[in-house]
Amino acid sequence: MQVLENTMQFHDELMKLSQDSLSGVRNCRVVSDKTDPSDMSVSHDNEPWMELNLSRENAAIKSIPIQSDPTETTIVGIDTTNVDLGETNEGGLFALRGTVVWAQNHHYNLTRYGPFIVFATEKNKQVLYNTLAANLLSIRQTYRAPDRPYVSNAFRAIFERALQRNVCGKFRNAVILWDGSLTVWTNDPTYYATQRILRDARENGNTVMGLSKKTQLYVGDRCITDLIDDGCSPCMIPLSFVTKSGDEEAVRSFGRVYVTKLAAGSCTFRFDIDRELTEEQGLIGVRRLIGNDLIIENYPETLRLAHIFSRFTATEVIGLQRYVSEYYSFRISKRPDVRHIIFGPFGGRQIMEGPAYDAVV
Amino acid sequence: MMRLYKIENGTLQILSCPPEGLRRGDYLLVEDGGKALIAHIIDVAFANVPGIMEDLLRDLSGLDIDAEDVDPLNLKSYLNQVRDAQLYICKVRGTLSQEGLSSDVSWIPSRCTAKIAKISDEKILKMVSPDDSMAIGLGFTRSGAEIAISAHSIDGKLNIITGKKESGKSNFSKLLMLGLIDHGGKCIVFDVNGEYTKLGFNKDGTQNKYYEKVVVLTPGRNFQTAISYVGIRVVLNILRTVFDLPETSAWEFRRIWESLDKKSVPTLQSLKQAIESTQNEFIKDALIRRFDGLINSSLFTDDPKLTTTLEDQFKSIPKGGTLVINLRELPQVYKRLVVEFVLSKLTGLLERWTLRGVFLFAEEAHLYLNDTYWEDIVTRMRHLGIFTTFITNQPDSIKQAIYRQADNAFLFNFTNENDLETVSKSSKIDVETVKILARELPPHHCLILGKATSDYPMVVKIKALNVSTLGETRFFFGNN
Repeated sequence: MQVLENTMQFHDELMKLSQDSLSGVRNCRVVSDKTDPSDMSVSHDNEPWMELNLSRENAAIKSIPIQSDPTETTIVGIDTTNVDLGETNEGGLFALRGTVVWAQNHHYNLTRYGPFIVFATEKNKQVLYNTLAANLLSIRQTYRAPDRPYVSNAFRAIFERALQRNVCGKFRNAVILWDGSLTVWTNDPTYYATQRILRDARENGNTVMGLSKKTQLYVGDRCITDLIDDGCSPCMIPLSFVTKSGDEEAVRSFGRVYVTKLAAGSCTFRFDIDRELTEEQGLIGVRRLIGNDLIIENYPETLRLAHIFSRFTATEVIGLQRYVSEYYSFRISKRPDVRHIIFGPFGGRQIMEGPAYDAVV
Repeated sequence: MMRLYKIENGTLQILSCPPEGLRRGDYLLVEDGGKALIAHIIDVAFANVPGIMEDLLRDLSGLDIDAEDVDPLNLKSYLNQVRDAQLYICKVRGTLSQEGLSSDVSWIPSRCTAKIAKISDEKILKMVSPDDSMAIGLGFTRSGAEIAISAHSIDGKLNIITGKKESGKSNFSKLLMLGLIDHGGKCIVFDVNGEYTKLGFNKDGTQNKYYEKVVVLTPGRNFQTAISYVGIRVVLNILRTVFDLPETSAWEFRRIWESLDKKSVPTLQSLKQAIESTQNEFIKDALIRRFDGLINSSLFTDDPKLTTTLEDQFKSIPKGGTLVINLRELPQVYKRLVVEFVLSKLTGLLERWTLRGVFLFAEEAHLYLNDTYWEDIVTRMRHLGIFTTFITNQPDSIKQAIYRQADNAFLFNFTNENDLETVSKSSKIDVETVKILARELPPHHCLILGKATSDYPMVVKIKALNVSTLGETRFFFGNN
């Protein structure tokens, strides 16, 4: 079963973009500067920088214990990944993939979208970016395409929002887990889309939560994830009342921020729950999450699976490189490692046996 | 598409993606700079693709999940090609250049420019066994190409046919024997199970073209001979090696024989009487016991109407044929006696050039061949013209020296490690090739090593014979 009703249209948009971008360039030599394809896959949950207005006076933060609520609720996890396949003189070649995992009656279902291959050049990146934003997120405003090193991340962010939009519109009364926080730069093309997606989610009775594995929220010199220990799990500490952005005009948090420990274990995560929901609604969502999803190391299984199935393995990178090399006559070769040339064994990188994709392509 | 990946210790590793579907035993041509290495695939493995473990683990974790892949570019097939990338482990067998085939493998082709392609079975067969009027058809390669070896490659050679039970050894040895007969070869076979006795008949019981050329000699029935024909040297040999006659008694027997020989031709009766008149009781007892053994074997007779000679038997197959020495139902000691007699007489015939040469087929030779004969067979007898083919399902029953000296080895399936270890001692091939290829041979498939295929190992599906073989196992409950 596909989660997304307009899947075909969704595919067609991405397909067309992929094909258009790729068909423009043939017989190019693609240089990859990665020595290990397994390093290439990137999943993002970076957030804009924020600080905590936590003084010694209000340091007595109280944790809220959470009890599991087994009321049958669908838990949905969404994650996307991008991987750089190489670059030519004209632009970069990268692939996107996203996964939606949903747990119903403790049974897991999964739909994986992609890989979609995009070739973004200086010439076409603006058109591609705007087309993608318009077609996938109905964004009519024109935004400046990011600089070349950030193009793949930016495309992935739009792709991820598109998946989130479809999921939030499709599911009812579900707990929907996003990978990363609900904090968005106000000048980001997805800013208004995020607002709309969260509104749609609420209208459908969904509770959207953003889960950050890494966070830049610190209390003094302590990361907020250090504020909680195993003793009180499952529990969460609300932090929203003490948060403010580094630049309030530039950054907007759509979530109420918590530090959570859903189960005993070594990991603690930042949880953002849709700010427009009441605290009680948010807490119900968390309880149902614990009651309906498997929680391992404090991390929901749906989101773990979404991440695992999105990630590009080294084998897949090689396969994708083969595809572009065969269909678009791209030649993949390894960019010389400048550090290795200059510093030899002192270049700070592990010396590896030659990457296998050299021989495959 | 294939690329040369590694060369280590004479072993080539060739990467193939998408996998070419080649199999163990296939040949590849690695062409570079006007010449080409002939690489023989001895093993096929998955390429060690980075990230494959992660990939497979992910697949496993998804087994319980209702998963759907929306893959509009159909990239999964590409990814699967990479996952299934194969590594062909090859041994270099020779070089093909404008000058032709050579065994020079001291050069290596370029990794970047070498072109790699499969050599068709027909082509490799043409290279290793050129057209020959003395061809013996053995069967077919896996791709269906007909394979034949030259009778010259068996002539003057020492051969081993071995494999586990019911793998097709006997069928192959009969095929080889009939092939030699077709070209006028004279053979002799020590038939332990009586399975060669019906070679002159088709499976339906009718006579076939070999009927006149297959002479079955059953000791004691149609194969009896005069003791004088055997001669003192052979009789003494038999008494010593088969019946363990002590040296002193042997000397006395020689004296008796020589004194009788001066008067007339020694017979069983005259010898028995002379032995009984021996003064020394110990020697007399020792001789009588052994001589009774000779008489009881029924191989020897004083009746001239019943006697025959090997010369006569060979004369009955002037245009090639085989003497089947039927050892079935003979007690162990008589088997040894008969073999000792036949080998001794054969040697004599060859020494006198009465026979030009003979192809000896020895099935399960350890059951009847005296220890002293093993080396003799591979050295002196071979030079005289006895070209032996050993057939066994117990490879360790054949002396190591035989494996080292063997010119051809015809290997059928083995799964037992010890057997493989023994067989791999053949000097004609490297250990890995034998161990890997012989282990995976299906029934009735043979790995040919040695001169028969110009030292290019070939896997052959042996063709079935339309002769009554009698080598099939008898079942109590019937063959289900």
